[in-house]
Amino acid sequence: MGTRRKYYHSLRFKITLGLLLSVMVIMAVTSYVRYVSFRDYMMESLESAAGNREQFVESQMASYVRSRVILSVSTLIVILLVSDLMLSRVVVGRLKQFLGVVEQVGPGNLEARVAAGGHDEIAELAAAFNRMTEELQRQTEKLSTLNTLAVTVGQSLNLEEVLHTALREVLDLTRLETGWINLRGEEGGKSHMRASRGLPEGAALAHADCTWDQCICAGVFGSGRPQVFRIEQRPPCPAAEYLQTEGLAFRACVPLKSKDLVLGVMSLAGDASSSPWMFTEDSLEMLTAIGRQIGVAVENASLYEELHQKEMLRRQMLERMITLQEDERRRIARELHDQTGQRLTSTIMTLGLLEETIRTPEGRAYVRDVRDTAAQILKEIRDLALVLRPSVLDDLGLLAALRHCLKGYQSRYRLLVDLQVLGLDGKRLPPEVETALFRITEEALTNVVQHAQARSVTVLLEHRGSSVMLIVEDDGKGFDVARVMDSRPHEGNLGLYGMRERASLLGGTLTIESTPGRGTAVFVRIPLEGKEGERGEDSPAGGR
Amino acid sequence: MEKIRLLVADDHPVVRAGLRTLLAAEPDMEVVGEAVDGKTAVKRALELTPDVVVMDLTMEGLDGLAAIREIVSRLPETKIVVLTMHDNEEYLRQALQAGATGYVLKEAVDTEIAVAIRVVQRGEVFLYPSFTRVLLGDLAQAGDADERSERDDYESLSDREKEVLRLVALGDTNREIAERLFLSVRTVETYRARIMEKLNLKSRGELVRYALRKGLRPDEVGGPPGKR
Repeated sequence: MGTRRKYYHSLRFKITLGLLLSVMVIMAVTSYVRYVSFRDYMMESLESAAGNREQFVESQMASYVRSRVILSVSTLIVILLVSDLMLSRVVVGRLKQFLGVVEQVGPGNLEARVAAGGHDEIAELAAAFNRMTEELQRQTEKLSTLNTLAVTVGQSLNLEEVLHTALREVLDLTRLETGWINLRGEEGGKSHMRASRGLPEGAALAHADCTWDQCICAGVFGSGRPQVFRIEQRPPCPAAEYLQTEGLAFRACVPLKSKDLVLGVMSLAGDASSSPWMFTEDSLEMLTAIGRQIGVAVENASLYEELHQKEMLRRQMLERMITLQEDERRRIARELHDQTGQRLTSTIMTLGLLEETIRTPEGRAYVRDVRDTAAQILKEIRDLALVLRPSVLDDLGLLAALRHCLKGYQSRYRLLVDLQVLGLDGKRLPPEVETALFRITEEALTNVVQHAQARSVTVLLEHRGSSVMLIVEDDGKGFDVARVMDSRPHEGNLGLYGMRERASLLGGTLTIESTPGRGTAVFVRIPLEGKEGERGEDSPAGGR
Repeated sequence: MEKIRLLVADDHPVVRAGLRTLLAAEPDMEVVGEAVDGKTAVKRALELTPDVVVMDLTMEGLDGLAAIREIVSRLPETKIVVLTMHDNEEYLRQALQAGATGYVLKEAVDTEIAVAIRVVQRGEVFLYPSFTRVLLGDLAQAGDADERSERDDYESLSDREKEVLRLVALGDTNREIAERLFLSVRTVETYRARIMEKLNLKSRGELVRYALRKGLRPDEVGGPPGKR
């Protein structure tokens, strides 16, 4: 029945019917015309050519055939014209309108729809097209929602922020008011609530540390698939009781997955009116996709947090190591100076006295030898202490220590050293800054001596504003900084990395600029804010 | 002949004992007192008004220097000989600034301390010989630096070169200068080489000094000494 009715509405039926009708009408008209004209003609002919019958019949036959041919052709032409008219009215016009809509949808206007009308194939096509466009629109909206969510959530690398943003976005999207996120705990079998919104306090507390076997989200942790359920159905969940008193009837648990690992579960809760929405396959699918996006963001943030913590730990360890090393060096240097040094001093004095009391020249020479050896040992101990940690750095400050150190380089390596100090005015810098700058200078000068083949080196120390700047620049052969510093730390560039670390531990920077053939410059800048200890007033370097 | 009255200040008993014995052998000297740190040294000096104080620098921190200042200001007649481990002109400088007139290294204590005491007692200065060389070197160098005259061709620099000169003197890296002036790092290097060439400067140190002399660092603040 339906198919037959459908056939009556189909274009083929309409066109066939139209053609049939027009053929019938035209045939009727031509038959009548032919009938009238043929009768008149016959009458005329009979009157004029009564004699030659045979010839008459011949001519009549020919004339008849000719007129039939002409008539058929003209009929055909008329039929074609009429059908063309019909077709253009019924089909082409509507196809044109259709085309207009297709051209709108193509570039992205998914709102456009083909006007409904008729029941023929074109109308069917239009309906199918509209359905497709609708689906397309829905998918596009979903993608753009996911995209917005991914972008918003991925903007931060702070885990707390990621979780809170994700929860807020999802609640906005689902028009729900209550939700929370639990993340897998370090120790197995537990998850911890890391973010919540609109959750009653009691529920928040109950859900804060959730043991898997007690909680409904354990299933989601295990299966990695979203679940929706009525809250009263599963009383074991510690939160359920509280949620019920808030009038929440449904809860959806969405796994937050990254690479098939469930990192956490996002729970959304809604009242009775939210159930139809929650149970649709579509919304679950959407929530799964959202969960995956959030999962990726959570993993990124977690990795970043872990990295950050490790970096902090590394810095702390490094700082501690450097402090310990300096302390230890200072202690040993002091020990050498104070204990060993003084005992040797006393020995020298005793030997000096002893020498006076001895009468034989050999004996005197012998004691003198021992005395000289003792003096030599004292010198060596002093040098050793200096290498370990120059006491002048602690006693008189960076400037004095630099002056002393540079004099040593100048005399030992025939290097012209130019030390310039600006803006310090006898002030002492915080001890850790003094130590770092001293060690960096030492390292830089060691490099100059070992590699640069320089004739002269400038050391510039300047205190300007709230930072201190150190430049060590030589006129040596230079090197390819990028090549040396961009490679992983190895024997050859470890010293440079060490210098940089020292500066960065104090919140400062170290830049090296070098051009082969034009020398090398090491720039160090260290901020002084928050580092108190400019011991200018009571320091002996104060210049009184 | 009146004996030179001495006060010995050192925080190491072995050194004090040694000094006592050593100086006891000198007929013209007499140790009248001892002190274990700077504070006691000042107190004992005020009580005893010795002619010469033999003073270690590093007692309980840097107490020695403070004690020297104190004694010199309150007892102008009393002379100070520093006896120290520090073979370091920085300590020497500080000690001399504080008012000491003798400086003896512990490694040469047996041969030099008595000489030094006599020299400062006479009102002269005694320094460990190697220091005298250091000081002379300093003087020679200072003279050098002053005599080196850069050709003063500041006006021969282009505006760009003057700007580069100023920024180099301020301690900017070549990269920073390049970014600020919209030049390539290589161009900045070239500018800098040309400036050094034109002004006959040999190093960054000289360049900075030149800029300071020319007043090219207007934001020079430095702050008044002891402002904090």
